[in-house]
Amino acid sequence: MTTTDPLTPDEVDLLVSAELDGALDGAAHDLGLEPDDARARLAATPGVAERRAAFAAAVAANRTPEPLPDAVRARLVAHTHEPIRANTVGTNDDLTARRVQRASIWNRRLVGAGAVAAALLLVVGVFASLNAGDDSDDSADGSAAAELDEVREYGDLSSTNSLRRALAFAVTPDGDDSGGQAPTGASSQDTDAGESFDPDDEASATQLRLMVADCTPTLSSQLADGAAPIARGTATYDGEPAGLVVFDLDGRRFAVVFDPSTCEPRTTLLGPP
Amino acid sequence: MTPPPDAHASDPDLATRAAGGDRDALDELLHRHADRVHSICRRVLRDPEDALDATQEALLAIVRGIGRFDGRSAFTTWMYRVATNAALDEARRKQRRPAATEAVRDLASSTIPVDEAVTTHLDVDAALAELPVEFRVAVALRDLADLDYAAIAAVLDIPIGTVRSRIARGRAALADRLGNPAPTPDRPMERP
Repeated sequence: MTTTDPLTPDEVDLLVSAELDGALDGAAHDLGLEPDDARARLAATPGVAERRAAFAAAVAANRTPEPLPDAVRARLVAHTHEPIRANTVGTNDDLTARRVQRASIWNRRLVGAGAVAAALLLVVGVFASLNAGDDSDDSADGSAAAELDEVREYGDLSSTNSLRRALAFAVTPDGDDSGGQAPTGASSQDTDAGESFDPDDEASATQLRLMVADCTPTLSSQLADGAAPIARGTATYDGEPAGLVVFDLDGRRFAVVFDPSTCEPRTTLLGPP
Repeated sequence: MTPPPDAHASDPDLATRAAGGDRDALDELLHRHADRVHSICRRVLRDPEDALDATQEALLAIVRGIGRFDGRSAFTTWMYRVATNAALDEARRKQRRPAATEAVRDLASSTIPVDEAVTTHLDVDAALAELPVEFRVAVALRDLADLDYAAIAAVLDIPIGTVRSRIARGRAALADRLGNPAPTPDRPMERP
């Protein structure tokens, strides 16, 4: 038996929504109605036409995907490449991915406040470095200088192969007398460090090394559960000054190339087990 | 020899090649669908930065899982399942993390250009943000991903009737927010 009792608003919403998708019959059954009954009662309910139009507008508004800027899309896709090239696809690499993800979240949020703090630390660091040169007997300044000496120069790490070589070089025991030389054999003073960074400017080199040192704790806490880095250095990436930190993650070497001004990771490479 | 990637190749063809280790085909798939993956994440998550992180996680999951894609379902259905799970995972992580201060949130948001073209998206996002996440997901999978009810039920592992109900409630909220409010109890649609 077909009735023409008006429907409740919730019943109308369910039926109109399903109707838009060509699935009125199923929705009618959900309400315990035969499809013909549902249609008849929809027709007998005032305001259904307006509701149908409102739902159609909502569907249309929701249907169009929000396009990503080309650069963002390219970057998202590019970040999926490193695990592929490091032969980590298909392994249980969620931990690393989420560490990178977490760092991405927090680094973006720390950019504003961090930039100010980094600038202050930079001034303090340069001042300390200059003082170290004036007073070599000062143990604190000596420690700072020694820490900076651990920041090697790795050259251009824009390609995966160069990053892989750097990863291998970074874990070379200190006893091999490589003494801070880059994989290419260049020293920290004469390696080409990119267009926007003057390698002959010792002040710039010192600044970059200080920034790398300053980012290390942030990267450690966000990417490596607070692990101490086993190597770090300065480099270039896509023509820009960059930093490199290598961590040991459960027996695997994990390299992070980052923007030294924001500490934001630019690429990563997880070495073989 | 693997043929070169073709921007006009079908998803099934690219997925088959990608599952066989063709990284160029995989790249083409990722580029082709990144916007929709992101849109799903954006609909599910309130914060645009969280959506980007979820998108990254989803793309990584696709890369990790493409070798196991067996072609029994459409690639897009599988991909949306991955994207949905990534977004829901991010939402759960978000609940466990302390909220950013508004000042920092504003700073982060200020890097995203806003113009007339995205006003509608913002309206949609704002409207959906008021809904429980399960309704947002259902609406996004239907209207944005264009999955049918059965596919949505499979993705979310819920009965089809629940899918219908969630979509209806989501659309109702969206309609209300976009300026087409539902009739109030004293208006004609109410049962006498």
